[in-house]
Amino acid sequence: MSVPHALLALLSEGPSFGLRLRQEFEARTGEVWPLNVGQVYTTLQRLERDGLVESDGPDSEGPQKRYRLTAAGAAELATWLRTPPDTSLPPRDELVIKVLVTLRLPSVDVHEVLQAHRRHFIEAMQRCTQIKARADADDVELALVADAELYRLDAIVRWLDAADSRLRRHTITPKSPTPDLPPQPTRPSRKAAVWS
Amino acid sequence: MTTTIELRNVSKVYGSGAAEVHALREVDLSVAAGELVAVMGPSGSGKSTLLTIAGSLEEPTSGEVAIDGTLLSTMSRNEQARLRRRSIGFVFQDFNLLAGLTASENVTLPLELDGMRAKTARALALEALGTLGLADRAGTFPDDLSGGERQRVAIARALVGDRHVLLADEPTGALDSTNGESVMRLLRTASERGVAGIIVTHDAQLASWADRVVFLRDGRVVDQTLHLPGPESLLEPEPHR
Amino acid sequence: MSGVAGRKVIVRWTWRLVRRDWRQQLLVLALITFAVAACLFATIAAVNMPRSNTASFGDAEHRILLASDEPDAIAPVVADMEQRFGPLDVIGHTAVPIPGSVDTLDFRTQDTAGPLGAPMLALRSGRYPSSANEVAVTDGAADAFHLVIGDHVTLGSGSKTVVGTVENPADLGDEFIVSTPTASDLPESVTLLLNGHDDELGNRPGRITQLRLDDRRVTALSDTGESSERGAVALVMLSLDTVAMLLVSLIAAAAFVVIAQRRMRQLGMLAAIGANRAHLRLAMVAHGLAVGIIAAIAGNVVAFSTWFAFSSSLENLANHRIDPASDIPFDVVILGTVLAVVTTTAAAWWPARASSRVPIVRALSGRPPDPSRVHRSAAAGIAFLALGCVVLVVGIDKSGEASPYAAIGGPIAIVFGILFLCPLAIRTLGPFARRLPVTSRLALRDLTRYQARAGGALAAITLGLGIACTTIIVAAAATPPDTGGNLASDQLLFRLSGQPLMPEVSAEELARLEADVNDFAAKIGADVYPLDAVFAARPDESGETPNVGKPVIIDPRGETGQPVIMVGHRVDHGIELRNPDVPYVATPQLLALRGIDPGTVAADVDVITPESGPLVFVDLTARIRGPEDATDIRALQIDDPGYSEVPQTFITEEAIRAHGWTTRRIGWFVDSHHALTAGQRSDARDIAASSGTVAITRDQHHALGITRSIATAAGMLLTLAILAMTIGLIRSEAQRDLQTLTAAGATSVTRRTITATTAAALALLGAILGLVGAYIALIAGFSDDLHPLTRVPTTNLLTIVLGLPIAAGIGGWLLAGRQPSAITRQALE
Repeated sequence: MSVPHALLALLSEGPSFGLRLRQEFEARTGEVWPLNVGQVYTTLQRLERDGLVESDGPDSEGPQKRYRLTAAGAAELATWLRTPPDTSLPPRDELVIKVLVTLRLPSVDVHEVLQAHRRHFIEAMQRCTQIKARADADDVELALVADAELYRLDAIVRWLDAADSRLRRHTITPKSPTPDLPPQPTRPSRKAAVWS
Repeated sequence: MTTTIELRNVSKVYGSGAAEVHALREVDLSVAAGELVAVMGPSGSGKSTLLTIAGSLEEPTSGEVAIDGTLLSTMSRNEQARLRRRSIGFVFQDFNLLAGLTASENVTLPLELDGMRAKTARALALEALGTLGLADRAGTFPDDLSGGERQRVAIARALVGDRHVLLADEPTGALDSTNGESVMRLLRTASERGVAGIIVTHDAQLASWADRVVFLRDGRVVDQTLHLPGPESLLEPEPHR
Repeated sequence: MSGVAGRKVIVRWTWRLVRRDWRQQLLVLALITFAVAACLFATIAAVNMPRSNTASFGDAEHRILLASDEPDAIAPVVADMEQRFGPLDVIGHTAVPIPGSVDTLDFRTQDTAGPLGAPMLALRSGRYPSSANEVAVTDGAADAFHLVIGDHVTLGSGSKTVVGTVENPADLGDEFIVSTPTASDLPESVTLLLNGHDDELGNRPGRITQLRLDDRRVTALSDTGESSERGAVALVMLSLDTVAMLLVSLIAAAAFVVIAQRRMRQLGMLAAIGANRAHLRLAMVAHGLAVGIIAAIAGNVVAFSTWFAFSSSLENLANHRIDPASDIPFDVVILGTVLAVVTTTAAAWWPARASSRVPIVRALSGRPPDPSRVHRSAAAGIAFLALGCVVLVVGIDKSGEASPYAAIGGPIAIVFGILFLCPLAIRTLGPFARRLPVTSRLALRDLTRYQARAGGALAAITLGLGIACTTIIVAAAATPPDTGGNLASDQLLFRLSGQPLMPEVSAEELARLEADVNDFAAKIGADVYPLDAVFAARPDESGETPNVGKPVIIDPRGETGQPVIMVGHRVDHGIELRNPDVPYVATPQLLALRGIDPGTVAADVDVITPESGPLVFVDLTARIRGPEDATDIRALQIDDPGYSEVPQTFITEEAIRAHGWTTRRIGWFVDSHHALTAGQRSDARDIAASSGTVAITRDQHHALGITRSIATAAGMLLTLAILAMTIGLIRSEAQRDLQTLTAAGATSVTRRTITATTAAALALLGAILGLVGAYIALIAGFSDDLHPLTRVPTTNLLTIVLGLPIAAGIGGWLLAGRQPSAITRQALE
């Protein structure tokens, strides 16, 4: 979530105070993304520095400072809205790494690890759903944010399910570095190469 | 809270000899009134069998099932049928409704089967359909209803009268997400009114609507989520993030 | 319990489905409708077939036949009767010979407006005779005498004018000439129609009384109208209807199984929401009831419209007028309709029971239950077969009399036995499948896979063919040599006389007649075999022949002629003429006709004949004092031709020479190789009449041979109809396979092969099972005397066992060309 762009978006509706901006932000995303005041002000200062927003003037300080979107800010917002987020992240997901590590450890049952995560994520989803369920059915914005989080968590759960069934079909015997075998530096594990 | 559905040490074996399949192994599960429990697991984990056994559609190979404290094994086939007419409501992924009957007739079906006069049953059905926003579709045949409407009619039938056991098997499987969500909202509302429900699914989003999620794998309960803290706890700060 | 409301909702649901899916029901609806219509129509028609008492009683309760040697002795008796019983109708009868025939015609004198006799008379055209000089004739009489209105005919005392055509509406076969009573022409006998009874004459039927008045004897035969035959016919028809409806219900059951299967998931759903087994059964039974009621109503409509449309054409068959509106046996119709509804509902009961017992989870997933255990049903089948055989063997005593329980129970047990064996029989197809090409293999596999349907179809086919086979075999077994009538339908006999007494005919006359006969034969493409009879010798040198050349015997009709040499049996106290047929001279042509090679006849044989036992020649002209006067003869026994008038006894030239007899042409045997038409028979009679001879044609028109052909044809037709109905059902089951096949590039040839194989396999199995079942039942039934069963009607049975599968295969091939319809959306069921 890009907090700067979210603030730009809120300011596009009209000038506002920093404190109002934070309330607005939280109201729209529910409890899904909590934001502290410091984070809001730091971000606003950075935006002002970059010329994307402007404040009433140096005379008014602190929470009473009113911010307004500049033309450059509006342009940046428009560009950002239309630019897809960068999804080509390298597979450095911590969960994936955890599972791969587990495979190497004979003492740990990988399915148990998977289930522990599954339970955790489902509990997280339950909380999310709870928020959605409790909220007013007309609160579209909150529902969208909750859905986004739910789908994200759902994707992880699905990956866990897929991993689970894949591991069931191909039981991997943990390759512990046995002292009997001489190390083979010339042929390193391809898997290791991916994330090392 | 009173326990409405209780499975004790339930096992189910299909076939025999080499073709023997253990669908359920020593499953313990109890669902209290007003509790919505999701049973999650991949296909073949035995979750549908758990549902049919809980709903008296099948008998367990061993173990006991009690509904409202009465053991199913002590009931005759006809008594079980009566239990299904009076207390248990089923919602399936599809083929929920009888094509030859209108929406309201589908809803009154269990009541009329139980001997209730058509007029009385119809009044109850219209009330149930009304709460689900289907009052104006009462006279429509299932073929002319949309998928979401059909499932809502099925839910109306599962909840009509004073039935308080709801058993749902992938109730949103054939629906898009919006319709699925409204169906789940209905189930949740029902459970808040005191209905004990079991939803069987492989879908995490669906399961997340439940108060408690039970994980089934190879016929065994392997894990379950902690009972979700009540709504009041949500006022407290988030535990993390 | 669940009560009326629960049942009501189930019935409502079922009814909605019947209405919604009526297209799926069309086949079974059509089948049952057709069956109901056929049964009802046949029943109404059959009940109307028997002659009612009106034919001979009019409106009278009793009739008395009076006959006397002295015609004028009758009148006083009639007067006496009138005194005793009040007003009565008097119908006078005099037999008049029909020219050119051995038959006579009834010349009646009757009051055409008689209170009791009037229903025996109806005017067709012209008017009734008003005086003794006028007559009215029936169409048959008009034909025989070649009369039209306005013609004159000489009867009794003088010439009479034909003024009208009439009929006996209650018996169209009653041919007569009617005039008004007159004192001048006294009838040979009279019929008195009267109501009321009398101790002396009695009211028992068939009582013969000799009345004496003024020392003159009059024979009186009193007769009472019997209770109507229609009740008995109605009963027989009802039982036939029952069998037919049972047969149809077997097929309907197969159809209902398919429907139950289609509704499996819905039934599962019903069970899940709390319907108990009774509810589930009710769903299918109500379906059967609905289908039965619809079909029964439709069947009634069809039956009655057919009846009103065709009742007049049935009059010829029934030989009496039929009033379509008033002659309907409503009680039987209602019973038959109820029967149809009951059997259809019963047909749904088994599928209902089976589907109510499917485990709910299985039903919900739409998976049919496992096929029933074949071995158990096979064991039941064998048990039923054995039971049926025992009942038949024990229940039928030496004289062939069967107790009704055995006669009904035995065959029913055997039918059940065969039906229970059907699934096993279907199973046997499996091994054959392995060697066949893939399409045929698929067809046979499907048959074994969908045993329930295939078994039902096979059961129906087996039952249909079993009945046909039984009829054929029994008809063959029951054909004794002497019941074939006088002649086959393609044969004709011209003879100088119907009696073994031949009139003298001049050589010119004979030549002219021979020419006529040859012309006639040439016209109809027939072979002519001249017939010569043997006569006692002309006066020899010794001159002591008392009977030379002159007629010695006067027959009752006053004909004179020379008696032929006959062959009689020597019995203990004399000689018996058991076979009144004329022996002919054994010409090579005649022997060839009978399939005898003259070369094989030994030189010392006197007579070639089917008769057995000590035989003697009988010369009616000689004075015979006792058996010792008759000449013993050496006979060569041959097969009986099966017809009494077909030349069968032949006297060899050797015997004629040895006895010094003479021979003379007395007739011609005409063999046309195809059945003679009524016109040809009439022409033949005209030829005979023109020359004072007689033409003899077939007298018996309903032979058992026809029964066999009809049974063969009917059995095959029924089976093909059943196949047409059931193959559709079976193939619809495998419709998806067919679509897959089509998708995989199968052509119409594939579909045709599959359907043809299915049809042929079922037909063959059904034919074999039906034949085996028929023989098992018959062997058990005839266990005391198996001899009649050795007359095996091979042709008919082979037609069924081989011809039917071929016909079924061809039919399947021809009908299966249609592209299968797109996968129909399986509704939310």
